[in-house]
Amino acid sequence: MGAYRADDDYDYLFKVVLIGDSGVGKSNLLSRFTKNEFSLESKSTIGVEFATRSIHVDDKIVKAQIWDTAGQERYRAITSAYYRGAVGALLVYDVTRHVTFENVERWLKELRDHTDANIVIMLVGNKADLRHLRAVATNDAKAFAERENTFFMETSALESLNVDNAFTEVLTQIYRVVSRKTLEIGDDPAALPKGQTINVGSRDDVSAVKKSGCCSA
Amino acid sequence: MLSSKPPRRKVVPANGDDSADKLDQLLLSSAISNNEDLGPFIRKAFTSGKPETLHHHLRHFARSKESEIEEVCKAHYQDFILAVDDLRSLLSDVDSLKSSLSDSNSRLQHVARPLLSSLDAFVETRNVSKNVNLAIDSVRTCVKLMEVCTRANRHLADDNFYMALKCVDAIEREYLDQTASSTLRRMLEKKIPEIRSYIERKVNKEFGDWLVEIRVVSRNLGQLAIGQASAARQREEDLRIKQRQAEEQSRLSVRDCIYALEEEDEDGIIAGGIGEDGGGAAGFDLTSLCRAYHIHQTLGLEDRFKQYYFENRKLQLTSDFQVSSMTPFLESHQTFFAQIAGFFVVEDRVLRAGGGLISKMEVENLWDIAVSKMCSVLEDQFSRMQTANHLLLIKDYVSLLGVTLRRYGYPIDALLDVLSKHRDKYHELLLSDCRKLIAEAVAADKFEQMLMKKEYEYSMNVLSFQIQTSDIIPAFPYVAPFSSTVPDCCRIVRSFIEDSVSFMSYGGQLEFYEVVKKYLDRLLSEVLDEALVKLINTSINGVSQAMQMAANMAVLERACDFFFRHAAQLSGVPLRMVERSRRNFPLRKARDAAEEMLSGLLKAKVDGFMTLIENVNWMGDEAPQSGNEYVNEVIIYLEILVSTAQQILPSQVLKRVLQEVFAHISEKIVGTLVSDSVKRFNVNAITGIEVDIRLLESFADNQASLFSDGDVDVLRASLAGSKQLINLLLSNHPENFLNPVIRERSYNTLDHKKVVIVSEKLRDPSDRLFGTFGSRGARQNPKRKSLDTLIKRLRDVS
Repeated sequence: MGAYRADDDYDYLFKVVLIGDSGVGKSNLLSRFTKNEFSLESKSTIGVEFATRSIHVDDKIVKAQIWDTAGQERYRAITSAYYRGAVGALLVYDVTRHVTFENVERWLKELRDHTDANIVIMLVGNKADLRHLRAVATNDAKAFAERENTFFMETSALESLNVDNAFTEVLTQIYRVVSRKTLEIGDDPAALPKGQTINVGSRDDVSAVKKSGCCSA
Repeated sequence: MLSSKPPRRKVVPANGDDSADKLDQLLLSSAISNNEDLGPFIRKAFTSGKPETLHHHLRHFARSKESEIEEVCKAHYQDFILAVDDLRSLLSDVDSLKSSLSDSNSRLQHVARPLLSSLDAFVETRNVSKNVNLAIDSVRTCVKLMEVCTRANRHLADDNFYMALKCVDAIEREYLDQTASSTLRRMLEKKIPEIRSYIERKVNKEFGDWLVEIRVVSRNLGQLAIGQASAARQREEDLRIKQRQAEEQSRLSVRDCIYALEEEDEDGIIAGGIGEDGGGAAGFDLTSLCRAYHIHQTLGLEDRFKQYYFENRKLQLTSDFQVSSMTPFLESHQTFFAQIAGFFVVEDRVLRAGGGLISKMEVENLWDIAVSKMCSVLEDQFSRMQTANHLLLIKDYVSLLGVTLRRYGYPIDALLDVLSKHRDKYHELLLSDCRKLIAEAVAADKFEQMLMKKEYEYSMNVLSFQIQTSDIIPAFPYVAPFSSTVPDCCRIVRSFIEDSVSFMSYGGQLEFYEVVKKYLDRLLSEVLDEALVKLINTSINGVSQAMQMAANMAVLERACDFFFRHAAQLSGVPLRMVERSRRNFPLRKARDAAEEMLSGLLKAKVDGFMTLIENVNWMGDEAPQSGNEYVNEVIIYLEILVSTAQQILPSQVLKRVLQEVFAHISEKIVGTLVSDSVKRFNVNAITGIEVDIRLLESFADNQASLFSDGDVDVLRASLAGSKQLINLLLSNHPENFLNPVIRERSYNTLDHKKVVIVSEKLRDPSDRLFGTFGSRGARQNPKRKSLDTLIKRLRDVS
C-alpha cells in the first residue's frame, strides 16, 4: 500500500481520549497500541501526550489520534481543551484497585459533560494479567457498562492482551457512527440526480450497536 | 668410541713413527678380525699422507692371493669339470621341476579361486559386522536416551515436573557426551533449556492459579475459622449460664451443687472434644504451592521463588486491605476481616508445612502490616459510625477475629486496644439511643395500670424484671400496679445492659463489671431519671396520674436492683459480691418529683375542701360535736384516696404522701386562724377545731393496718402544729408557753408571732352577752388574765 499512498494519507482522522485515575495504565495502553512498547517504570504522565496510529476499517484508512492525560487532580484544568473534538474515549480503571473502578462514574459524568452525545465510550479494565490481585469482578464491570451503555473490555498492556481489540473496536464503532451520519446526509433528494428514496435506519441503531457491542475477554 | 681414537693416533705418530706403525697394524688386525668398520683406518691413511704404503701392502697381498688361487685352481680343475657337469644335469632337472611347479600352481590357482572369494566376502562381512556393532552400540545409547526422553515427555505430559527435570538432568549428565549424532546433540542442547523454561513457566502459571484460588479459599477459610470461634464462644456462653444456675442452686442445697459439678465436667469434656475436631476441619490444598517451590528448588531458583512468593502474597494482602466506599463497611466488614483472617491461616500453614518457603519473621512482618491496616480501618470506620448497634456488630466480629488468629499464634493486642478506645463512644451512642427510646416509651404512657390476660404476659412484663410483689402467680386477668412505661423502660435498660456487656465481653478486659455498672448508673441517673422527671413535671394531669407515676417509681426502684444484679450476672460477677455493696436509688430525683407531684396535687385537692373552713361559726354558742363540714369532706376524700392508692402504692410511699398531706392540713388550719379572714373566735369554735383534729387522728389510726411497721405516730406528728395551737388556746394556763421547758415539750412547733396574733382573737362569751355579770363571768377572768399576760410578754419579746 505504501507504494500507492503517502504515510500520512488517511480517509478519516478520529480523536480518541484516554481517561481514568492515575496509575491505571493509560500511557502503557497508548504505547502498546501505537508503538507496541510497554514500560515497567511507573512514571506519571505530565499534562497531555498524544500519539497516532492508522488502521483499516472496511477498506478505509482510519487514523487514530489518541490523547493521553494524567489522571491526577492538578492537571484537570486542561479538561475542556482535552475533550474538544473527541469522538471516542477509553475509560480506564485498574482491576486490582477497586477505588479506580468506583471513580469511573465521576469520569463518565465529566466525559459526557464535555463531549458530544454520540461519542463512543469503551470501559477498559486494565492489568487483567494480575489475576491473583483482582479486586473488581468482571461481572460487576460488565453490569456497569450495560447500565451506562458503554462497551467493555478487560485488557493487559503488559501482556498485550486485548489492547488492539479495544482501540480497534472503538475506532470501528466511531467509523460506523460517522458512516451512518454520512448516509443520513445522503438521504437528501436533491443530492440524488435520479430522485430515488433510500431507506436508512434510524438513530436508535447507534444505541443498538452499542448495546450489542458489549463484550469481554 | 671409534671417533675418539683418531685424535690419539694423530698425536702418537708425531712422537715415534716405528712404534706407532706396529701399534696401528695390531689395531688394524684386530679390527679386521672383529669385522669392524675399516673406514676410519682408510681415512687415517689418507689424512696422514702415506697412502703409498697402503697401496704397496695391498698389491703385495693381492699378488700372494692370486698365486694361492692359481694353485687351488690347478689342484681342483677336475673337480670343477665334474661340478660343471653336475650343474648342467641339475639345470635340466630344474627346468623339469619348474614346469611341474607351474602346472601345480595352475591347478592350485584353479582350486583356490573359490576360497579366495569366500575370504574376501568374509573380510567384507567382518567390516560390516564391526560397523553394525558400532551402529548398534550407538543406537542402543540412542535408545536409552530416547527412553529417557520419552519418560521425560510422559512426565511432562502428566505434569510430573520434578520427574521430568530429573530425566532432563540425567540426559544432560549421562547421555549428552555419549551421543554420537551431532544432530541429536544439537537438538538436546537446544531442547534441554527449553524444557526447563517450559517447566518453570508452567509451574509459575500453576502458582499463579493457586494464588487466584487461594484468595477465594482464604475468604471461605476465614469465615469458617471465625465461625468456629463464634460457635466455641456460644458453647462457652451456654456453659457459663449453666454455671450461673448451678451457683444459684448451690446456695440452696449442697446436693444440687454436687449435681451441678457433674454437669459442668460433662460439658467441659464435650467442649474439649468439639474443639479438637474443629481444629482439623480447616482443610485447603498447598499441593500446587509446594510443588512450585520444589520445582524451583530443583531448578536452582529457590531464592528467586521465595522472593516472588513473598512479594506476591504481600501484594495480595495489600489488595485485601481495600475497603470499598461503594459498599457500607457494615456490609463489607465480615468479608474484609474474613479475607485477612483466611490469609493468615494460610500463611501459618505455609510457614509450618512449606519447607522454609516463608520465614517466621516474614509472616510476622506481614501480620504487623495487616494489624496496622486493620486498626486504621477500624479507627476510621468507628469514628464515622453513629449507631451503637453498628459498633457492636463490628466489635463482635473483630473480637472473634482476634480469638481466631490468637489460636494461630498471632498477637492481637493492638486490635483489642482499638476496641477499648472506642468503648466510650459506643456507650455514648447506646445512651443516646436509649434516650430516644425511653423518651418514646415515656411519651406513650397512658398512666393506666397494665392489664395482663395471660401468664406469658405476666412473665414477660413482671417476672423477667423481678418486679413481682409475690412469688405466687396471680389469677388472670391480672391488673398490675404499674403502667406500661415500667416494663417498656425495663426492656430498654435490660437491652442496654446486654449491649454493654456484649461490647465489653471478649474485648481483652476480663473484669469489666465496674465499667458496665458505671455506664448503667449513667443510663439510669442521667437518661431515665431525667426523662421521668420531665414526664412528671410536664405531663401529669390529675391525682390519679400522679399516683400512677408514684406507683411506677416504686416498682422501678425494685427493678433497679434487678438491673445491677443482671449486669453482675452477665459480667460473671457473683451475686453476693453485688448484694454486699448497696447503692443509692439511681432514680431518686424522679421518685421525689413523683411524690412531690402527688403530694402537691393532693394538697391542691385538699385546699379545695379546706375552703369550707370559711363556713365555720367562729362565735357559735356551742361546739359542733361531729366536726366541721370541711374536715368531714377532707376525710371522705382521703378515705377514697387511700382505698384506691393502697392497690398500687407501696405502704412506705403512701405513708410519706399522707404525711405531707396531713402536715399541709395542719398548716392550713393554723393559717386560717392567723389570717385576716377570721377576725375573732370563741372557745366553742376552738373546741370544734379540736374535734376536727381528733377526727383526722382517728383516720390516721385507721390506716395502721396498711403500714408494715404499724407506725401511726408519724401521721399524728404531721398534725402537731395545729394541735399544739389549739391546746394552747384551750389551756387554762396559756402563759405556760412562756416557760421554755413547757414550751419545748408541748408547744415546740408554735411560732411566737402567730401565737400573739391568734391569742388576741380569742373572745370570752361574756363579751358577746353584753356585760352579764355572775359566777360565769367570774370563772373566765383568770384565763383572760393569763392570756393578757401572755400577749403582753410575747409582744414585749418581739
